[in-house]
Amino acid sequence: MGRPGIVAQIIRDKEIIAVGGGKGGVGKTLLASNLGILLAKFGKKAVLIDADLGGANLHTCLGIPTPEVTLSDFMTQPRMRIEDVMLRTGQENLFLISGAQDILNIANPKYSQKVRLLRAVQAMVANFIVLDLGAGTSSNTLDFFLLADKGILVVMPEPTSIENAYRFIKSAIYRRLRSIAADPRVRAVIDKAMDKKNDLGVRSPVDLVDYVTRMDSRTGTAMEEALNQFRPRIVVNQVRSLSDVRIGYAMQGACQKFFGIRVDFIGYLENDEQVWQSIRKRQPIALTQDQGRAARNLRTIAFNLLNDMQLKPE
Amino acid sequence: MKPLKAQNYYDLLGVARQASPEEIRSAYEISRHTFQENSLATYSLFSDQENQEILALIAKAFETLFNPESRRVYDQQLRQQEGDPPPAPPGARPVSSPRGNGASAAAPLHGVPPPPQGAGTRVRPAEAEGAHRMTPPLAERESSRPEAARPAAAGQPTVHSAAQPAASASAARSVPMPLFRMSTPPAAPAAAPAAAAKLAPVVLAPASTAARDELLKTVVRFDGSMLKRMRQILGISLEDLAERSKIRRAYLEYIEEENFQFLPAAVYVKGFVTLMATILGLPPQRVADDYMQIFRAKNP
Repeated sequence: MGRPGIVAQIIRDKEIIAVGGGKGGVGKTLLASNLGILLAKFGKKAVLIDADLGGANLHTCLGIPTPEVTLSDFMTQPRMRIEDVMLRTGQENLFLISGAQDILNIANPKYSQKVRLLRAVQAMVANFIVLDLGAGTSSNTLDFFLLADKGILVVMPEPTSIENAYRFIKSAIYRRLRSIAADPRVRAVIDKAMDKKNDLGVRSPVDLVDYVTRMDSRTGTAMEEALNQFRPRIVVNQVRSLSDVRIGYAMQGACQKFFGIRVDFIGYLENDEQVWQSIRKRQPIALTQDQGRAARNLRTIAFNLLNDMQLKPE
Repeated sequence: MKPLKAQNYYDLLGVARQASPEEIRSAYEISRHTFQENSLATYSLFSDQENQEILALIAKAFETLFNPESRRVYDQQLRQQEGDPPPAPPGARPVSSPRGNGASAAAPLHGVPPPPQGAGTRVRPAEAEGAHRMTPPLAERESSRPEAARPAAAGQPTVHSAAQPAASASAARSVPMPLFRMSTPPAAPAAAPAAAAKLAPVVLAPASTAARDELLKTVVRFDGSMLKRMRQILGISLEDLAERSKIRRAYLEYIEEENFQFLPAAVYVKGFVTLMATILGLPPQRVADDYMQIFRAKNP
């Protein structure tokens, strides 16, 4: 009975991680690149994918010159395999699939192109796949986020960023719930519920599941199950004070009560001169440093992410 | 994850069933912070009134779980409810189901107040009433029956609409901050952290907070003696305040006695009085302004 066991183990030993956050410039790429490096340092094969289809710059964060093959080659050439656009980085175990450079063609891929990409990512052989998502809540971004085993939202301690993160969570939940519903009537209800001022009396995903359960109890149950499994992680970036850290816990509690979902606050990045320097020099913290606050912050995030834990209140 | 109305006190605070009193307290502090006015994390999700209602629920959860006796009773009820899901224990069935239609399978667990000590599962009607005053507006929001979505006036059960004014009245008042008094004499400083976990709190009688609010109306200026009066009215000892604020007892006393020469720099004193004011349920900004004016006048 050796073989099936081994296969199962290989399959289980793979995790897709998505880093998103709604707002631009909050540190998604910074976190994704450093996470990839840390995971590779554990001796696991890690692949970083720049899934920011409109503004790829993950290679810059890693200090790699503009790559010759990118995701756009894979997407425009049907015979290409995703492994063909996978690049070595300077670091052992770490690979990069760079994002599309020619914005016009790929920023809005056709449905079939997108499905092919999603499937390729799912089938890829690696221990960790880290997806760096673009800003916004476009359906492409949401689909990558939902594809992942674990999704991280990067927020900054400021109103706009937090509002966008909530919008992202809400959009992702509704898109997930919509994918469960086969009945067009249920779909119509979900579309209507997306509008905050709908006349269904549905204000939160919990309300929606309640509503759908009364229409069709089987779909309702499936949706409830999906809601229970949806568990985004939160990282607060550019933290300046203890009260900024508390925002992470506060979002955790607010999401639990408003969306009815579990959210894990897994760590924060301090507003640190080193981080700023590392971006300027295009040398990721995780690559160059073992000591220092930023490196410690990153290790905590990685640890909590991999172990399905939350940051412990101090 | 369960909807808010089906969440028990542990869910509400986000702690495990076996959480220690200290964990419960720290979870409570975080939750309270989360739903404060102008909280970055909540302003775009909840209205002010909803925030107040959640705060009230959280406070109730904390009071119940932090006291070992009420926690024991609550745990017992919880086990009973989970043991036989559909038929809830006789006394635990809410007198007035906020949903009105009785369709909900899970009785709202936080609607069950801890019964008086040793009374088993029987709930006194007065208490049940008190607990439910918190729930209707939220439950109304949660209940998504199309017709229920309209404002409460539209043909809701009478119990529901009767509870409504009471709820908004209690939400309009600021949520009382649960203060607590240690029931055993304070331990020696060195042993304090270890002992703190075992100490049982006594939740303040509403009468004392009412007395504070009454006195608050007459305050001209918050000086040391006024802070002391407020503390005494609430029945909080210096030791309790020191334990809760993590400010040394001696400093608290110097602040009250206005022994400025023994106090640290102004910036620390300001922090101290602000924290004291918050714990005593006084307007922190005003207290700090008043007190620091005196401090600076006598300490140029």
